This record gives sequence, structure tokens and C-alpha cells, in this order.
Amino acid sequence: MQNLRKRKKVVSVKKIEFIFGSALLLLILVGALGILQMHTHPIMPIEPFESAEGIPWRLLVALYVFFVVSTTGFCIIISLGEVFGFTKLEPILKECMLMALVTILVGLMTIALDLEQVMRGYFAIAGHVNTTSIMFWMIMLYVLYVIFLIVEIWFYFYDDLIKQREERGLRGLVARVLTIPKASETKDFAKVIGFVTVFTAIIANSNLGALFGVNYIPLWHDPLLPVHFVLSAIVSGAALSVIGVYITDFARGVKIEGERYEAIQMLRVILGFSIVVMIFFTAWKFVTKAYPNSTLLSREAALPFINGEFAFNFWVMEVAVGLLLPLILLAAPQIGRRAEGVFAASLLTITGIFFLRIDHVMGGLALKLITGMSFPSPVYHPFEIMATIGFFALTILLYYVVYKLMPMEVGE
Amino acid sequence: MNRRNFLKLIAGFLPAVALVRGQNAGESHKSYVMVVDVNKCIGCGKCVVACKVENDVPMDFKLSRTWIEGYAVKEKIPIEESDVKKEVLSTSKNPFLDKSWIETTRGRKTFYVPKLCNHCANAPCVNVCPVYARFYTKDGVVLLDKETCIGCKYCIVACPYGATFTHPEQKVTDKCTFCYHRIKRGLKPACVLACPTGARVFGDVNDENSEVSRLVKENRVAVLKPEWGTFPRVLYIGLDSYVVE
Amino acid sequence: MILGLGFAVLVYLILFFYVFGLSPMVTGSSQAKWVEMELSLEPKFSDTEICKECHYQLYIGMKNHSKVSCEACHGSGVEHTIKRTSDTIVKDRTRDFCLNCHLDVGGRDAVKTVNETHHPGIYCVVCHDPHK
Repeated sequence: MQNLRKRKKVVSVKKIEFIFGSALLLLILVGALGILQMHTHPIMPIEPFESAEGIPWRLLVALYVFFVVSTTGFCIIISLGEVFGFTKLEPILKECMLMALVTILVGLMTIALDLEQVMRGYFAIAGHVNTTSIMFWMIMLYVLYVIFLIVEIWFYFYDDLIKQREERGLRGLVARVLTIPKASETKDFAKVIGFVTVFTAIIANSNLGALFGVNYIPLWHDPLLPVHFVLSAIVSGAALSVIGVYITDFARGVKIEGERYEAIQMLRVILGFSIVVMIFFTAWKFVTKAYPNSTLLSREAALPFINGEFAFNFWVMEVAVGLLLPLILLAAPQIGRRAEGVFAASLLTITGIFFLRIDHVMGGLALKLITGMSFPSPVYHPFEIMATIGFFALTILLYYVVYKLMPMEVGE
Repeated sequence: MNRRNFLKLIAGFLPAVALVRGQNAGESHKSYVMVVDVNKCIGCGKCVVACKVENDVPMDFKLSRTWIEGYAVKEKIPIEESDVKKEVLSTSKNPFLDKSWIETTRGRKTFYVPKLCNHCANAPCVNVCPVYARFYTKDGVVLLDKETCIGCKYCIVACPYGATFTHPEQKVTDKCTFCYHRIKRGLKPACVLACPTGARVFGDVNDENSEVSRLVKENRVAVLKPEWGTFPRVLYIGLDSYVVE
Repeated sequence: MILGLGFAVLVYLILFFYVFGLSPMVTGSSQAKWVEMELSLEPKFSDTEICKECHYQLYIGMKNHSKVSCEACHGSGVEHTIKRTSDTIVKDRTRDFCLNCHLDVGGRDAVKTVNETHHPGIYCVVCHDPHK
């Protein structure tokens, strides 16, 4: 009787996995179709998106910025736990590392597929370089970051991988490939590499901020934009860590308690603090730009956000949903003390951060277009939306696959 | 390896860098400049059509290597945004001949400003291209290597004048080259040739006998967006900077 | 500790040597090749000097349009100089073609302008010869 019950449970879990996996694959196919259509239809023929042709950086670049800053955020959380002694974060470090790896890989894929000449993308690394170009340094630094992150993950998981060598199936195979059976004290080495990784991640992320900040575009030109980017990395990292850990434990059917609950509470504190700093950053950024003393260009840049085309994106999605509401949820003890409450606040924060990226990229360019053809309102072309869905699905699928293959401390 | 050999190794790399950083095409005693007289431009659009024919840009594509901005300005000081009406001609269809434009210009000060790539001496597009696909020639022209361009569109973001665009068929970026293949044969750029009123004048400003030198000497010239510090090579006579950005 | 930092420094150094050492040679040669490519493009417009060689009589007879180049109205002329047939050059006699420059929208001080009400519907060339 008990065997029958267990078998039924196993069967239903496999069925859920199958449905889940095939749903994700379907979404990824939708994304691939979107990317293909984007590259084969030069002039988007769907009304009213024809004018979207003139804007150089649209939804995919905002998505790339989102992914890449998220990975820096994960890296900062990992380094807080591993290198800087926030020991309460240790139980969730493995999930964060895998999520960091998955998001940077998908982020690089996003920007590679946004290029007009995808097949020539390797030029930026292989020979044709312009050392005054910040975009070139960004690519180099992120490649370096991927190398260091993979090394860090390898060394952090090394001891557990050795234990996994005896298993059968794909997991064992992965473990046997990645290790030689001589256990050593690798966690210290992982700590040093972790420091180097977070160093590279912060340089790379602030470089991305500088990529926007050096242009004289009124919304972007700000020597502190790199700092703003690193700050938003902390926010995204903390929020996404909470989301990732919660969904992982939900999928395993485990309630969050004990050490992992303490880790979530520590993330709640980090998230709350960084949201407060972010509120002030955002508020003063727009006050400085919109003040009558600032240049005409700055005022024109800030105006769409205050009561123009981007007003909904800014006030509702970015400020209310992204900053104020999560802060209230995190601060309220009845909600903040429950893992579900922190999860809900993190979901809202991430939505706000996503719209922050869109506003930043597309709002800055809204003034840039040739007069008479400017398209100041945010345009989301259906192909781009399809591609976005595909990339998110790809992230989840990759994380799922890597999670299954790697030795996570607690069992299935 | 001792210190001397190590330094020799480093020094070996430097000539390679100098070879690229020093511009390697064109004649260094020339400095090409275009002078545009806004008083003479009538907004006919022949320059746009000629440029598209000469340089393989699709005629009905809404962007072009050169374009004309028409301004109809209510004469009111201080001016507000609603007092300035702008229209752009960059395809074969000329909006300046429409009923709506004729209505708009009634009673307003009207003028047409032809714009193109300014071939800046401190070009933002050259600074930001990650694959060094844009480069200066010794005579001041900024060229774009379409074989190297990966289409990241950073140059489109960086150009303050909006002179660059993505070519719809070639899938790389495109911009005015001052018709380099024509000027090196002693011909004039296509837009200069096609202009019926002679509003566009092209030449070598280092040559004292050229038309552009004479124009620069005798007129007050202005450039677009001087505060960006790009040092452009397209000079305007009769530009109304109160209105035109 | 030393090993970890040493590894990181090594990776960074390899990157810098690669960037500053190997790449300029590739970039420089590709730019030189492109300039060659640019210079080899064939012009599609010739010049009034070339049109003059065959159509000299028409050229010296022009008074009003003497400063306008032939190809501004007649389109690109290189094919016509090779084939010398009537269908390789643009001959647009319609009213709209003339009004493209001469319609009195605002801001046209450099040309003589004319209103829509001036003999509507009739081709301008019926009374005005553009080559005189």
C-alpha cells in the first residue's frame, strides 16, 4: 500500500516536471521565433511600430542591462556571504552562484542576438578593438567575469562534487568529469577567487554605467551613473536572490525555515536598506534634472518622466510598485517576517527594476532621434516581447538544469 | 628574461599601435569642409534623392544620409516650443509641398536647414565604436568600415546630430562619407552637385583659392550644437541658433 | 591566497597584452582595405562638364537655370554617357516636377516662386522653356 502511494507521488512529480519543462521549451521557441523575425524584417511593418526602426536601443538592450546588473547583484550577495562574513547568507550561496552564472550567460546571449550582424559579434573580442570605446571594455570585462565566476563555482562546489562522483546517471557523469578524486581545501581558494570575481563584477557593472554616462545625452550624462548602477545591482541582486530561493524551495515542496529563513531575513534587511538609498538617488536625480536652473536639455529629458510619455512607467511602475510598495511590505512586521511577504516585496521590486531599465534606455533616447521623427513614447514591438519571454524562459530552464546537475547541499 | 629584453618586447608593440592610431589614408595637407548657406536652401529635396541614388540607400526608407529640416517659426521672443513647427524631408516624398506645410508656414518665418554627417574632428562615433569600424582619414573625412561593423548601434546613440542610421538592407550602420569615392576623383559630392541654388559648397579649406575658404573668410559661420565639443566640419551661414538645435 | 590573486593578475595581464598588442594590427589592415574599397566605387553622377561635351548648344543657351547642374533635374547621368539613349536619362515634364522647386511655400527667397492658382493643371513647359 505504501509503495503504491510513493509511486503515485513520484509519477505526479515527473508529470509536473514534464509539463513545466515543455511549457518552458515552448516559450523558448516563441522567443527564438521573435528573434528570427526581428532579424529578417528590417522595417517593422506592423502599425504603429514602424517608427520603432529609428530608435537604436530598445527592449532587448534594456533586457540585457537587466540581466547583467542582476548578475552583478548576485555576485555582490555571494561575496557578502562568502568573503565579507555575513554568515547568515551561507545557506543560499549555492543557489545564488548558479543564478549568477545563468543570468550572465543569458545576458550575453541577449546582447549578441540584438546585434545587427550576429555572426560578426566575435569581432569585439577577436582583433578589431578600439581601446577608447567603453563598450569594448564592457565586453572584455564581462568575459573575464564569466571566467572568474566559473572558476569560483568550480572551486566552491568541488568538495560536494567529489561526493557526487559515486552517483549514477548524468549527475555522476558531470561530477566525474569535473573533478579528480583528490579532495583538498578548496573553499579558501574559492573565497579568494570570490573576491576577485566581485571586484571584476563591480568594475564591469560600473563600466556599463559609464557606457551610458559618458554620452552627453541629458538623461544619462552623470558622473555618478556608475554608482547608481552598482546600487541598483544590490537591489536587483537581493530581490532576485529572494525570488530564486523561494521558488526553488517551493518547487522542492520544502517550507522555508531555520537557516534559510534567517538568510531570507538578512536579505530582507539588505533589500530594505538599498531600496531606501535608491529612493533618494532617484528622487534627487529627477529633481536636479527638472529644476529650472539646470540646462534646457536636462529639463526636456526629465519632463517625459514627470508628466509626459513615460509618466506611467515612472510613477506607477518604477516608483510606486518598484520602490514604495516593497518598502512598506518589507517594513511591516506581519508581512516582512514571513518568507512569503519578502517574496512578494521582491517580485514588486524586480518589476520596478525592469521598468527602470526600460525607462533608462528608451527614455534617454527619446530625445535623440532626428527631429520630426522622434518617437518619445516607449515602444514595445511584439517581436521584442516574444524574444523577452523566450529569454526569461531560457533563464528558468537553464537554472533548473544546472540545479539538477550540481550537488546542492540539501537533498532532492 | 631580463629587464632590457622585456622592455624591448613592450616597445615592439608600440609601433603597431602607432600605425593604427595615426590615420593611414588620405592627404594630410587637405581639410575638407562643407559650407551650407541656409538663406539659399529652398527645401526641394534634390540633395536627398541624389544622395540616395549615389549611395545605395532605399528611396522610400524614412532615413537618409542627408536630410532637410524645415522650420516655421512664429516671431515671438521669448519663444516657446509650440511656436516652432518642424518638418523633415528624408525620402523621395517631399512634405514641404503638402497643404499642411503651406498652411503652417503662413505668417511665419520659414527656412530650411540641410543636415548631414558633420565629420567631426572629435567624433563621438569614432570614440565609441567597439570594433574601431569608424576612423578618420588624414583629410578630415570620417569613414565607416562596413565589413567590420557589427551593428551594435552605439554610434547611433552617441551621435548628437542623428547623422547615423541602420541600413535596412545591409544590416550595418550607414552614414554620409562626403562621397569619398567622388571627391578623390576631383568630383563634387552628389548632394552638392544636385543642389539647384548652390546652397551647399564643398572644398578644401586649407586651399586659399577654394570657394569654401572665400565663404569662411567673408561670412559669419555657425555650427550645430557647439557645446558638445565635436568640432564639426559642416559650417552654416545664416543659421538661426535661437531656434535650431 | 597568493595563488588565487596570482591567477587573477595573470588573466588580467593576458587580456591587456592581447588588447594592446595584437589587435591594432588587425584593425589597421581592415581600415586600409576599406579605404581601397571606397575609392573603387563607381560614381553614378557625372558632372556638367561632361554633359557639356555633347549638349554644348543647350548649355550655352541657358540663362535662368545656368547655375543648376544638369543632373539635378535629369537624374544620374553616368549610364547615359555610356549608352547615350533617351531612356537612360530622366525627362520629367510634369507640373509637379517644376513646382518641387518653384511652388511658393514659405522660405523660398532664392528662387522665383509661383502660386498654385497660376494656370492650374497645365504643364509649365508649355510656356516656359527650362533651357533658356
